[in-house]
Amino acid sequence: MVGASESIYEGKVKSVEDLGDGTAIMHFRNDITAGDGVKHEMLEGKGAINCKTTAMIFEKLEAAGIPTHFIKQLDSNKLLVKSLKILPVEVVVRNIAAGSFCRRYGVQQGTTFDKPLVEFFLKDDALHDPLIMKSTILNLGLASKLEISWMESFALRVNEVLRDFFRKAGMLLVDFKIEIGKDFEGNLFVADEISGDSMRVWDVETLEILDKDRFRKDLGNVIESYTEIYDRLNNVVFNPSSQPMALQIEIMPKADVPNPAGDVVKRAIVNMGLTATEAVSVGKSILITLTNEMAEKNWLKKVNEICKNFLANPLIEDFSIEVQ
Amino acid sequence: MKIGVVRFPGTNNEHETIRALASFDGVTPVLIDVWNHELVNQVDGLYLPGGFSYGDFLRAGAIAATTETMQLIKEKAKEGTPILSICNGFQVTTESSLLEGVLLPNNTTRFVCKFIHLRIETNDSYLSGLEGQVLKLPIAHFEGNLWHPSSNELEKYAVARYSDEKGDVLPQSNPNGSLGNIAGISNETGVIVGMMPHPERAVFPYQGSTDGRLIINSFLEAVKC
Repeated sequence: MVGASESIYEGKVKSVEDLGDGTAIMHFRNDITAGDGVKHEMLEGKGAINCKTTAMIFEKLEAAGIPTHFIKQLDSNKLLVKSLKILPVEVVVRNIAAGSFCRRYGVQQGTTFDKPLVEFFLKDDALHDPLIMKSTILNLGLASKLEISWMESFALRVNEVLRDFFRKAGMLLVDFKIEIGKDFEGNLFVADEISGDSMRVWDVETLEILDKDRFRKDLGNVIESYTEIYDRLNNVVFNPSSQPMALQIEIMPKADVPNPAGDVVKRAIVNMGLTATEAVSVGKSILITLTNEMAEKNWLKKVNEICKNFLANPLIEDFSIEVQ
Repeated sequence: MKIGVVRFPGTNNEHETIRALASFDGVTPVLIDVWNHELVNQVDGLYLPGGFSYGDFLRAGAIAATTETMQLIKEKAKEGTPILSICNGFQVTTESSLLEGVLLPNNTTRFVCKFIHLRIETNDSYLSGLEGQVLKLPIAHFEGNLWHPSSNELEKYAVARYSDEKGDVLPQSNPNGSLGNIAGISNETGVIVGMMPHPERAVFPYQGSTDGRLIINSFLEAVKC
């Protein structure tokens, strides 16, 4: 028999107990760390404030049609969540340049990006969570092309919802990190926590820092600031609307399948002057828009089957699916 | 004997098929539409005629293959009900995996509409009685280029090849690029036959050939057994 302790995973600031029934308890402790755990302290009330901030934010994300692992809050420090396999990459969305981004590219802190920027980091403390390229994620088999597109697309959706929510509460969402978990059927969910520990938040007027940078930079009043974030959010009325989700399906003829359409188009392209044209392959692109992901359970499995059995003919065509 | 003529939205050969079938003694053609497809269970054989089912969207025959009507037809096929599928009907049966292979666009990239000659091959289908005969039949299609990643899968089931009028199977008698000049195939048990040429358009002298009668007659003989 497996002892209860063996199903408990101890992280730096949280513990997760898998209940074995598809759910898990996420326990928010009072630890706070920075610099890959080099700087470590205990702050009274820190677990509780992050626990309720995460619960509130995940409820808003669910209302916006974004699937999260959140089920319910059990007590002041514990959430009941879906038991998921966490992907080994975390996703960072940046609205304003800060932190490692400024050091890495020499950009002035506070520079606002025209469009939010998505970055992936490998989850590995020993390697100090290095930045990782999408092609590397794919190459190392850490996530599929579809999963990468989901992460990118849903990170941006989380950003849209939270940016509006924070703005309404008089705060700027500078950047944040999310983790993604996968259930046994391959469905993806926003997992882990979203709190003052995992984001940068500034007061919209004074630009006062309200997040974990207070701890990193020894500015003090860490718990008071985390509580301020929670209270401000809790005091605004914010009802996010759920956004439709679009799946881009690309169907291409397999190599070595006769492709008369490609041959004709090739002749035309050569006639138009691109004489080095070796081959042309003509495929199909299909865009499926779902009202929202939450309304369609198991969409991933269903879409895969529909592609395999209908949209593509497996004798002659390959397909790929991406979330737009 | 009742022969079901299956019409999907976009099928357009059903009336000439019904007229052709009705010219055989003892045959009652029954038009089956997607909204009364339970009639599939009341007929002795099924004829899937040509046309442009569901506008040929996605791939010719692909959407018809997803219908409940085809589910019922697959059940009947399992029970051994003879099926003759022609042109778009053939595309529907390959897309439904009742027959092997896939019908790609013609290698000429043109719609082809003309008389061709067809040599009936040694085979185990209900067309075996016609083995070695050369028939003159019309074709009219854009996607008739029969293909399979493994040509053996088609060779195994070939029932007819495009040939010249003497029955010689030559590259120049291939109207669409089909592997091995194969114009039609059967399934493993030989009760389902699909082909691009139109037997129902070569039944009456005014149509320019009556060779289609031989194919339809073989199908009807199989239904009788």
